[in-house]
Amino acid sequence: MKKNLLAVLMAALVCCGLAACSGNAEQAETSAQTEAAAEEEAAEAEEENAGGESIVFIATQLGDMSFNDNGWQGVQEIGEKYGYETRVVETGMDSSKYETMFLDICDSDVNYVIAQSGNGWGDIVFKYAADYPDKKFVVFDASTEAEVPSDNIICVAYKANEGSYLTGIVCALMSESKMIAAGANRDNPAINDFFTGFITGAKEVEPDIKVSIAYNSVPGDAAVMKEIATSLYNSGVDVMFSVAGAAGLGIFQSAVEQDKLAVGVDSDQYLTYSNSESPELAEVIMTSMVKNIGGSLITVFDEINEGTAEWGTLRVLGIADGGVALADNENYQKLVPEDIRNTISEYEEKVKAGEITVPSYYDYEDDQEFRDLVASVTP
Amino acid sequence: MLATYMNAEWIGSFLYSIIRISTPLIFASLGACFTKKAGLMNMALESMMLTAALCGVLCSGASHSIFIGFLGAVISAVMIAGIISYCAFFLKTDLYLTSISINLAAVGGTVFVLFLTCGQKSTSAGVINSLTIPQINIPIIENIPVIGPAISGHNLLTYIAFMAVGVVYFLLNETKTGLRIRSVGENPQAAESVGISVRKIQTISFLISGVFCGFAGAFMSMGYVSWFARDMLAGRGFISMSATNISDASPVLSLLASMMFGTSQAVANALQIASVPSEVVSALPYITTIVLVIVFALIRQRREYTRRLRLAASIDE
Repeated sequence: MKKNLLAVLMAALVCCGLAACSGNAEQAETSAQTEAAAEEEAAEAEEENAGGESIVFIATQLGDMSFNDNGWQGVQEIGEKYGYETRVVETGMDSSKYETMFLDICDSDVNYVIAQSGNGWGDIVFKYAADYPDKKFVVFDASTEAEVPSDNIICVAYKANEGSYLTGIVCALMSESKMIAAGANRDNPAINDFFTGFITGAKEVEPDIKVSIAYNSVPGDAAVMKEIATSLYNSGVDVMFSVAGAAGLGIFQSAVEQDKLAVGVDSDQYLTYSNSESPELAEVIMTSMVKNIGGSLITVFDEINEGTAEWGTLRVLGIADGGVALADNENYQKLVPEDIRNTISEYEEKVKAGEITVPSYYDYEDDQEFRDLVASVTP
Repeated sequence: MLATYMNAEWIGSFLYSIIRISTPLIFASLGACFTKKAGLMNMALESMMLTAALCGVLCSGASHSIFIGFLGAVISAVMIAGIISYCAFFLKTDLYLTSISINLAAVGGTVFVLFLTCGQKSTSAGVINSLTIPQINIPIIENIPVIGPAISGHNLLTYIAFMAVGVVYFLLNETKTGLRIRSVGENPQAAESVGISVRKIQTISFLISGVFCGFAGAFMSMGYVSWFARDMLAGRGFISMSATNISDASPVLSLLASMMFGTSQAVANALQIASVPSEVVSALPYITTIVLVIVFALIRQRREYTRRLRLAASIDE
């Protein structure tokens, strides 16, 4: 009797453990559902694409209502449009497993692999892509300086500095205390590129602005991020830019409690939260620095299907190419007065026209130059 | 740089954040005191808290009652403690292996349950409209500068955490169960020989531990923040465990050790804002752990040494 119970318990444990390790069981289910829905719509398209090609989208974790979800949405649209079989693999945050996971994916029956560049994925794809000449890889959110090592890769980079430049301007103009802040998970070049644009933009319109930048002491932990945001808001900051993905939730909740403002990142986070069970979080998000991840992936696959895609290249999308933008929604219209919105549009046009070149972290000689920029606005 | 923040208001909110950060650590380390006194290390604090955090959100979201949410959190944590106790004390599996596997299972298991209930895998924010336990403003005290903002306006559970220190002290030192727990911890064979069921006492210590972890988990998802997020405990269980260990399971010292860890985290957060290199800052809580372990170990060694000297002296006489 006891032995039986033990066996059942252990079986339950193993099941949970499996779910923990891969999370694949769940995804198979989701993709099965989406596939079923997509299949009917894509029936015609599929006839053209009779080979039944498949795409694997590598996400760290879905449900961040930001970066990963944005990309996955785009991939699903691609699937519907061209009749690809789409699948998502969630990798979790343990980067030590990534390399073997990637090789497993490449060894499976798949035609296209789409991965983000962050969290070390870019390096892994670059390292192994040449070993799989019959597979194609798309790396998005790459560094604007990336050198594509193999001709079966397309890299997509977003000029985060340009989008953050506009964010800096809107934050500086909206701040009454002339103290603004930005919070991120990690201290790395991609994040510092955001901060470079953000600080430059803020200084452009308010030369005496004080900008605090903070990195999460426990990356990804929304509770700690909330702690940091709260102490920033308490110190007089009244607008804060979240570059923290899912941990940005901490910033938004702190803003709600302190009655301050925040700016979202990667996708239009106002829209996401206003349609959710916590609409109060949406109210404080005056705009978001949107990376058009889904849209840019769709463009890439449009070109692939037209046969015009240039493999082995890096494409850098800025404001002018629609790669980055400030989210314009009802909350933005409501919270940001018209004259400030006009100023933003003016700057947007200037950047588009090339009249203003926004400095980038990648252009700096060394890290010290960025630290000097930060020091020049530190309160 | 930091000096610009150094005003009364900032100090008040800094002290406030120390207390808030410490709350889950205090609960969990108090819970671990019971098992430690019973001679066992509770390595499953993390999974108990994580499960409680999820159940708090699910139950309060489904019932629209804070109390039911809280109750759900506590019961779920006790259930985890029950499963571990049954495996380890009745089926004689290895306690630590069981705890580790439960910890691993909880990380994936909570995400799995979250996905089954609301289709999300990252966070319940925006999907489940869960409730939070209210904050309490203490009249009079809240108007005192610095101290007021620091100790007033906390979550109800934070005040319960501090009061719980006295309760734990009383339970361990003044009650029959407490005495039995300690005697099992000191010498299980001796306890067995006078008719105390060792496994029953060990199970009780784990279940009580589960209750405290339930409080901690409820605080995490129904007070600290208002949602459940994947792996949201982020090692707090293990920090609490070391708080208990370095204080040798004394409730008061556990409280202090937890507060020390809370302080180092709060300092890390503050320095983060003051643009001190983030690599240094991230290491701070861990450096504090090592320093604390060494300091406590030295004190204990000292005490042991003088005790032996005295013993030797008394034998000589």
